[in-house]
Amino acid sequence: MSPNQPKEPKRAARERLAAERAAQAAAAKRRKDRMVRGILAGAVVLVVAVVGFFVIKANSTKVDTAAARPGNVTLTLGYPTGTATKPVVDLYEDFQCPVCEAYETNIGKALEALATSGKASVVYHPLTFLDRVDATSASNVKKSSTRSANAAACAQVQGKFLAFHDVVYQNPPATEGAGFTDAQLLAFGKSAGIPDMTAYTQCVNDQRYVGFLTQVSAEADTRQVTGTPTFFVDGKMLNFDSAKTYADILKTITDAVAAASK
Amino acid sequence: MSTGFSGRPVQLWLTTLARLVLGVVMVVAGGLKITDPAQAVRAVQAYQILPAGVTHVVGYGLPMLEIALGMLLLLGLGTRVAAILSGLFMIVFICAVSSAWARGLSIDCGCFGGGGTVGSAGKAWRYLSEILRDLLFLGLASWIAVFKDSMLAADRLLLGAADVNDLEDLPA
Repeated sequence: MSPNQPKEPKRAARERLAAERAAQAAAAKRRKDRMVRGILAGAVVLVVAVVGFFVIKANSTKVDTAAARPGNVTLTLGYPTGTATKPVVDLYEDFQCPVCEAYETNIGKALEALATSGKASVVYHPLTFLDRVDATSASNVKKSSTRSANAAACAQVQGKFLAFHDVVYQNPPATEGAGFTDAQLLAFGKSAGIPDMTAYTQCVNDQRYVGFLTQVSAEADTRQVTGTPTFFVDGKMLNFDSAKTYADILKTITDAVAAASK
Repeated sequence: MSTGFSGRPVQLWLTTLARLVLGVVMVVAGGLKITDPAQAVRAVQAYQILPAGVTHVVGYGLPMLEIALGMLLLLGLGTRVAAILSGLFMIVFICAVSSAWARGLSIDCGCFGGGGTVGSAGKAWRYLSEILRDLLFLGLASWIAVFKDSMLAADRLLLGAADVNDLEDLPA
């Protein structure tokens, strides 16, 4: 063995110590890196949360609780039709909704017959959530759900809601988002036989019942209406998930009405 | 994580691509929802899974989380954690859509805004395509979580290129 032998363990110890220090330094660096990235990521999340809060606030429609109502409105903010007072069939619709149009074409008359025959009070609630489908359309058809629902309220004032409703569904938008122009809405009112067209035109142009429409939408939201058309019979939401045909849908409604009439 | 593939330029750029695609998807999905909060809440309600009070929290909070995770992926900051959370989101979405399908509900997933109930035409195909799309995003998230180092990433800037793949115990 060489004379250097006794020195070997010391060198090994030194190396081991150095390796330990390096490992500790690396661990400290890892902790620091992790913390720095954690803080930065937290900052990103915080910025998104703050900006998001203001975006949500800016895009939430305020409910105009003081807005004027178009007369003869039920407690659930709909337009009642027919002579009966119960059972109540609530129908939530949006004049831009193609499924509503399909329902109207297939079972609309049968629903109206429920009201006219006195079997039920059919209450219509026009909603405005499909304003989003014309958000990128030409400026004269933007917010067609709100403008058509406002025109319907103007028709309601003159006792012509249902006639207006029928005319709108006979003239649906050509494509989703094509909406309705104000000129169309005025023509619909004329076809519906509105007696005082001057007052109606004024009401449509003034957007008089837009505030009331925010109340209708808020009420629909509290009733968990998530789309249109949605039906309630005596306050209970109907479920058409197992219905295969419009006849099945109509039967679901008439069965619920019959059950509620007992 | 020295598989021979990790750390090579092709892996680094593939992860960058996955990060950018998934990041943009998350930011767009969240952005479309957050600009129509009432509709976002309706979309959550339409699934009929959560109780009334909670739907508002999810309808408002989910888009923000999506945007935040999307931003982290785009920045490449805390890449692995962001990818794992995004993957968990996709799993939750897949479960929600499957459950709606199984219960026979006719709803639009509301994945990119909109949502709510819709007509029942083509229901099966719509649900299936939503699930397949989310599976694809889950695949991207998994890739990023496994091969977390990438080019054009804040993590790489902060840690130095050499360190990222050496730190095997690093959770993020």
